Amino acid sequence: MTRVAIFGASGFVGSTLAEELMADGVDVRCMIHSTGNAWRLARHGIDLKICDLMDIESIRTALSGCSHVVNCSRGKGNVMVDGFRNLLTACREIQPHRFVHISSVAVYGEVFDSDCISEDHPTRPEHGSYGWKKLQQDQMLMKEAQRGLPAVAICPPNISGPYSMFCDEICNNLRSGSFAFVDQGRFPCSLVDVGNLVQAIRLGLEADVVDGRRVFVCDQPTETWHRIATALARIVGVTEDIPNVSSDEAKRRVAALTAPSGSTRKTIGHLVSSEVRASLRKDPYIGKLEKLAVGWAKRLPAAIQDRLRDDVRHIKPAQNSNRSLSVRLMAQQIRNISYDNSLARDCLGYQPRIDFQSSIASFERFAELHWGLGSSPFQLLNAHS
Amino acid sequence: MTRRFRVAIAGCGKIAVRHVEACLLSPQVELVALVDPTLERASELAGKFGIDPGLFANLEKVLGNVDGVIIAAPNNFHRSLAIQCAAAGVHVLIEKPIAGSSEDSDAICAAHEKSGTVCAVGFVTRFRDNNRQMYQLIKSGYFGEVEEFAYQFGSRGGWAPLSAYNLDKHATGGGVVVVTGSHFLDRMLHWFGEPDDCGMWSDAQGGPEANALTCFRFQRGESSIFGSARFSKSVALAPRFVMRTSQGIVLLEDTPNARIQFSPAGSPVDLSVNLNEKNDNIFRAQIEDFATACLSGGPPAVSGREAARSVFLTEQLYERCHPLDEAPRSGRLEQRSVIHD
Repeated sequence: MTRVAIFGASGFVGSTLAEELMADGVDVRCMIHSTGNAWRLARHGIDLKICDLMDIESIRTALSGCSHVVNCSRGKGNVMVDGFRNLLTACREIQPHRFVHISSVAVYGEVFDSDCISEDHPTRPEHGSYGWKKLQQDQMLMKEAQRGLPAVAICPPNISGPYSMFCDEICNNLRSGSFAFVDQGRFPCSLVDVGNLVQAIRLGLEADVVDGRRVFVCDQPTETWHRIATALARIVGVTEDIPNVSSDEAKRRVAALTAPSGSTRKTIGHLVSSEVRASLRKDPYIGKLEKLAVGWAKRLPAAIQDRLRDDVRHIKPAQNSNRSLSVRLMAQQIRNISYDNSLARDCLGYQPRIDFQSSIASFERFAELHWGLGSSPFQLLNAHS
Repeated sequence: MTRRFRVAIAGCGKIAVRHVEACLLSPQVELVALVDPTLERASELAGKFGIDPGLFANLEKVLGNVDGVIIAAPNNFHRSLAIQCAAAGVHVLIEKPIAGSSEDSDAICAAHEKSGTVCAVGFVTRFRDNNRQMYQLIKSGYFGEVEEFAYQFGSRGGWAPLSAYNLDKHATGGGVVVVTGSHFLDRMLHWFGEPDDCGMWSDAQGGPEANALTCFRFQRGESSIFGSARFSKSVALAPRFVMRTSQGIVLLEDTPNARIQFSPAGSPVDLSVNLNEKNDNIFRAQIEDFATACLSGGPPAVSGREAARSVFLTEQLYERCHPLDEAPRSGRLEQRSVIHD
């Protein structure tokens, strides 16, 4: 590898990858969207390139002289789709040796035909969701691979290890008493340690099978939520029993949180909202319908239009009946799914080096360093909050 | 009718938005000019608020028409801009920190002392009611003798200035200790005075540190106050100050409207912060404090000399910096390293 371009280098995965490649002497070019989140990399005193994925010239400049490309970028609104399209267009021009894209298990949505799925399982993300945008990216990547871009999409579940936001979220919820097991934590929780994920990315940068396919990268065996939460509870010193809800109760709470009631008034209000229309008109077909619908809505008296807009602004998530327990983490538990990583083993030669215990241990070490976990100031700060 | 205090803002990046807002809220202040070498930024900022001040690419043309200048440019420009203002007899309110080095701080203060103009520094969290109350209660001995304190503030990144100078340690004067930590260091100096020892452990590896633990010891007769402060730009740490005293535990979440919690002998008591309506916008309180100081000849809440103390302390910390993985688990300085001025 002569030079690896990492887009989204300031994120959790991008930073870990960049640090590991730099430690091995690989020439890395780190592309970031802004300096706000790039401190982890900046501390190395390296040159960071600000690159706007919505500006193809900015991408072309960034890619100059790069032989390999890794995309770890995220983004708001249309950046994930339009920005990724720009990135692929620029790559078509420079023809990198390999292109590794970080996909997500979110592309599969929330409905599964079995409790352990492989990559060819139907993708059913909710329209417009994060998973839907990642799926658009995967589909664009597949097309570009058919045109000759040597590419692979690495598809991780929740990521553990140092800087893990997933572990951090569970720890925070455990400390505040808002984490609850569903059915005593019996459900599977697919994880990949960030070190193993980086290993998979590096294998992808050298892989032979580079037809744009999506490849699950996860640790095996799949852990349960009980094992993970109890391991993290030990780290943060939570000794009392972790609350528990039944799966029926969890499903009820999740449904209450995710199913806003509809009304004609809200629908009209959405049409009048400029933010909603801006998103809709990006699709050429919906855009035409949108014009018709907006034309109709605009014929309403101005006062009524204003009132409808206000209604849209006032739409809030449904209230959780018990605010003290994290419904988000309940929703993850009742997904009840694990992922078959045999394709990663066969195609990439992926062999996870870091087991669950080691991953938890490295997170604990990270917490000691960065939170001061176990130190006297940490105890003073946290014993009285 | 009294003429309003006329100000210009030099540097039209993100923090300037808060200063414009404050100027517009205050009946005492009139914003007459926005200055930025990239004129589009000045224009965009004016457009954001629908105002029509003069827009200038450099300060020179503004100085004859203003009473004071808010310097909101990157830290490494503070010295030249502040001295330019002093030479023209114009007061300054400088965004924190006053400068990136003690040498620059001294030069700024000396220039304004010579010209008889006010040099105030924008440690805006000093204007929070809870911090003011904490200062008064510590000084009055309400909590008893302070034995130990710990502070933390961390976020996964965040503030990204338009000029992207925040990651350039030569422009800022350091890393997270300067960018995030200087507010607390200033308050700590205000509350406890200058420490006798200090030490720092960071994750810097050639660039600005993203994580740092700083430790302090304050000699009080035969005993000492031990303090620590942890700052992060890569890890979320709930902003919090906790103090152990001879009377109990004092806790203050480091947020604008948090109340001081005092637990004497394990029995929690809520101390109410006396809310001052004026301080609903601390940037407004700050600019009005500055204007009042300039017009009355009195001192501002945070003078240049006072602010220079945190710059000096920061330099001492960087001189005593060690790798993060060598930080003491006790959070206490183990080796004596007395600070000499």
